[in-house]
Amino acid sequence: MNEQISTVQPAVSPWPEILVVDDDADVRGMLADVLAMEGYRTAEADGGRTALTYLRSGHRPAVILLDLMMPDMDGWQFRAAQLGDPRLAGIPVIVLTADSREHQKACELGIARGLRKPIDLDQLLAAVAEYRAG
Amino acid sequence: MQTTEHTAAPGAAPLAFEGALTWRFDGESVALSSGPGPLSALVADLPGSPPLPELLARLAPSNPGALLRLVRAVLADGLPRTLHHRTAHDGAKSLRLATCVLAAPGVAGVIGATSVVAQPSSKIARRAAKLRREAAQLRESEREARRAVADLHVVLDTVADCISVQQPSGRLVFLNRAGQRALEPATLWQVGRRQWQSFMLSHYELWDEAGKPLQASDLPPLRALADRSPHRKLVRYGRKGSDHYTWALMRGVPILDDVGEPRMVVTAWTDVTEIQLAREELRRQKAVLQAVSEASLDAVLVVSPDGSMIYSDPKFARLWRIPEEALASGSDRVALESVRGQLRDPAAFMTRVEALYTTPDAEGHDELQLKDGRTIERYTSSIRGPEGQAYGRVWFFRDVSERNLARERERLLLEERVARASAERLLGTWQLLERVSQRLAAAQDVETMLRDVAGLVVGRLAKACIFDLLDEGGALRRVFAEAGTNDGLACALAAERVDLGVPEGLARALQERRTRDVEVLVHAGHSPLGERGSRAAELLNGLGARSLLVVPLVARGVPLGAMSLARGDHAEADVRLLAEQVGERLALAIEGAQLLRRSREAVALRDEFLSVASHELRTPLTAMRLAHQTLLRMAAQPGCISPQALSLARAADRHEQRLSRLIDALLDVTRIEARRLSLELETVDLAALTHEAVALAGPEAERAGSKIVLRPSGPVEGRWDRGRLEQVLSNLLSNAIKYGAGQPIEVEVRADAEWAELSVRDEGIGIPAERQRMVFERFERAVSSKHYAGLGLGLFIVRGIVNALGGEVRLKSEPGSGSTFTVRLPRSGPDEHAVGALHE
Repeated sequence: MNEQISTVQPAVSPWPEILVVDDDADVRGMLADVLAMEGYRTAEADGGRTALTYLRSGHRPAVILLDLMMPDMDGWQFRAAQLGDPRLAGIPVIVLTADSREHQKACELGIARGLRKPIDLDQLLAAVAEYRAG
Repeated sequence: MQTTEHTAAPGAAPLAFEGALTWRFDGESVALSSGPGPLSALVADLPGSPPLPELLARLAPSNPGALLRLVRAVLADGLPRTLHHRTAHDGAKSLRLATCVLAAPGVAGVIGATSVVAQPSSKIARRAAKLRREAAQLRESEREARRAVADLHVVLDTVADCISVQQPSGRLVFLNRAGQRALEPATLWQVGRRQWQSFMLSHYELWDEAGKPLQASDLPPLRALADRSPHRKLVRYGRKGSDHYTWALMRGVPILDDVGEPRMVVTAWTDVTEIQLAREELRRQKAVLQAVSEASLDAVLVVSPDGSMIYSDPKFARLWRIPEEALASGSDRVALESVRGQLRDPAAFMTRVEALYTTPDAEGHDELQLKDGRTIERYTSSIRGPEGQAYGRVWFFRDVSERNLARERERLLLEERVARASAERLLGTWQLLERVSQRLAAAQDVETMLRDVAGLVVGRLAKACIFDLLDEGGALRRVFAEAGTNDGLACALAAERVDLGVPEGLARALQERRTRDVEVLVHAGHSPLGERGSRAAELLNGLGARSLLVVPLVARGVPLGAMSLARGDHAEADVRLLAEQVGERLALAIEGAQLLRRSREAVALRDEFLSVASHELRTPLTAMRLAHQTLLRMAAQPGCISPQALSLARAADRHEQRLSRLIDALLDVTRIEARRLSLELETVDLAALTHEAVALAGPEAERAGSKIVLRPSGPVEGRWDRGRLEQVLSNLLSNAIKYGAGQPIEVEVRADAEWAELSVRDEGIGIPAERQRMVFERFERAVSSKHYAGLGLGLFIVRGIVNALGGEVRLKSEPGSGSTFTVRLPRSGPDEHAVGALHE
């Protein structure tokens, strides 16, 4: 499990934090790098459980990038747990899917936005920019 | 009184003996007749009918009493007697007389002859001798007459009939012994009693046949006397105050004298009590018989041996509709003639009747069919007396049409009941099979099927139902057992292990693929189902099962297992057939369920593969693309990377995009093949989409030297998948560009209310007719892959998407002059069921 990368206090930071949840370290790292280059603060979690622990420890990212297919706690389970916690339910989630059917299902679960893998950088940045304000 | 009969000399005056005095005494008075001679003077002053004592006193003045005694003695016993006496006491003047008294034959009373006994002189002596001779002759005649009378009396006494003889005056002259025995008291029959009838009627009562009391004048003797002709009458008589009576046939016959006057009357009566009683009994019996025969249902006819109808009741005439005159004839033949015309088969009838008449002892029981539709039952037997004498034949007839009809109805009813039972059984069979089929169709898995079938079969066909199924490795497994309410037993049976090595019912049934009906033997050491040990057999026996019907479950020649029905006895053919039909259905259903399970597993596996493959392939692509795109973004800042590096980054991005497309294509092909292409249906404007696609393809077309011409059209909206339609357009356009030989490409969108149509026409190399069908298959292309790159999946995907949207793709092409691909899509989108099926 990777340690979350947290910078300074979110409240005083001018840059919102993006939580990247993906079990694939390459993708997770790449996403974090790209977002960091765009000036976002990022935190990484290698699965739903880690992400949930992170959030329950008081962190409130502006947007969560969520991979669906993960071995420990998958995206669906994470989403269900998030929606079950009133403190976390309001954080917008952008799901990253490889399967078009899952993409469709994600929409039904009130996911803010779904991006099909392989993700286009412009689309990613646009989506994040759209939801970072909340 | 007549006095002439005993005269010895015929033709002479009565008793006109010379010197003799003759007289006759009839019990009351005297009749005198005297000839010339001294004796006539003696009685000259006497009247013609002097009193007897007076006459006797004249004849024998010295001893009249002796003479009177003599007369009485003769009257009493009828024997002749002679008394010698004198006319007077003094000897000088007295005459020596002899008086002979004898009973007169045939009449009452006596005859006396008094004559002078003279000293014999020659003349006198001659005369006396003559007289003696005559007297002797007379006596002889008298004796003969008496003998005849006595003989007659003897004869009359021996006669059983009662016979009496009376004088017209009513005096009884004779009563034979039968008469004496018949009448009491004895005083009744004292001969000589006067007014005998009146006397008798004072002791007896008489009635005629009808029971009317009779007077003396009604009786035959008095009537015979009155009209001088014989009379007869049946009378009943009995002593007054007595209950006993006698029936007698009484006859009266008058005996007339020369002038036709009645002299006597003979009464003869025969005791006919027995006959009369028998006749009465006969009459009673006949009445009873008649009443019985009239009360009975049968018509009765009695025919004597000579063929005359002795008796027939009214029913007989009615039943056979015998005419009055035929009945009156009394002849059975005549009656038969009137009957035969009514019969359906008169010849057979007559033959049978003849046979019965010729064998008097034969009994017959027949049913006769009449032309009018009636059926008459006939029973006949001979009538025999106590000693076996033939009295004739009795016939009983009964109209049994109703009864036969009732029997026929009953028979039909029975048949109907049997048919109904059979139909109900058939219906039961059919219903069971139907319910089995319904349950099997509804069941999702094998376990449910077995439970449902067992539930239907137990109680109907078996006490318990056991299923053993072959697993994929070919081993037999006890899967399920059901024993009605006996769950414990079912569990125990279900827990038993099956051993195919036991060469019994189950193993053989599976081997031969044939139903086996085997006995459950506790001591066999194993059960017919192949369980080792005797536990299973004991369990089955405990249930009352003595036999097992093992039905192999075979689907399309492949054995799947067996259904075993535990039964109290061996199964009849229909039960066996029914069990086999249930087994057949169950086997097919199990096979279907297994196929369905396998196919579901395969589908799930493929789904998982698609999902994993998408994920696993795209995840590195994601990292790759982000890297390339980041590089390109960095390159936008001057001096960040070298131009060579930028060029390489661009190439890497291009290749990554191509790889991504290829992966998409491959996954799409897989989905299309699995019919699991997912669609996101929304309202899409095909015209706008086409416009965008044409614009997007513009650069590529330009590079190929082609110009894409889009015919203008208004919006064409439908319920489609935008992304998939983009794929269709992209594939069709790049196809046209690739094979368009640098010629213009014409694109058109048309629509009517229901359908939208997109056509892409190139003027390229075209496709030969024989390959036109193949271009839509996977990895196919119209021309050699050497000249044209690509996997050859484009048109396959196009067709897959269009079909999934409920539409079709048509190709019109001619080698050398180009091809036109036309896509037709329903504007309402794919059929919902079709979408459902895709997602299954």
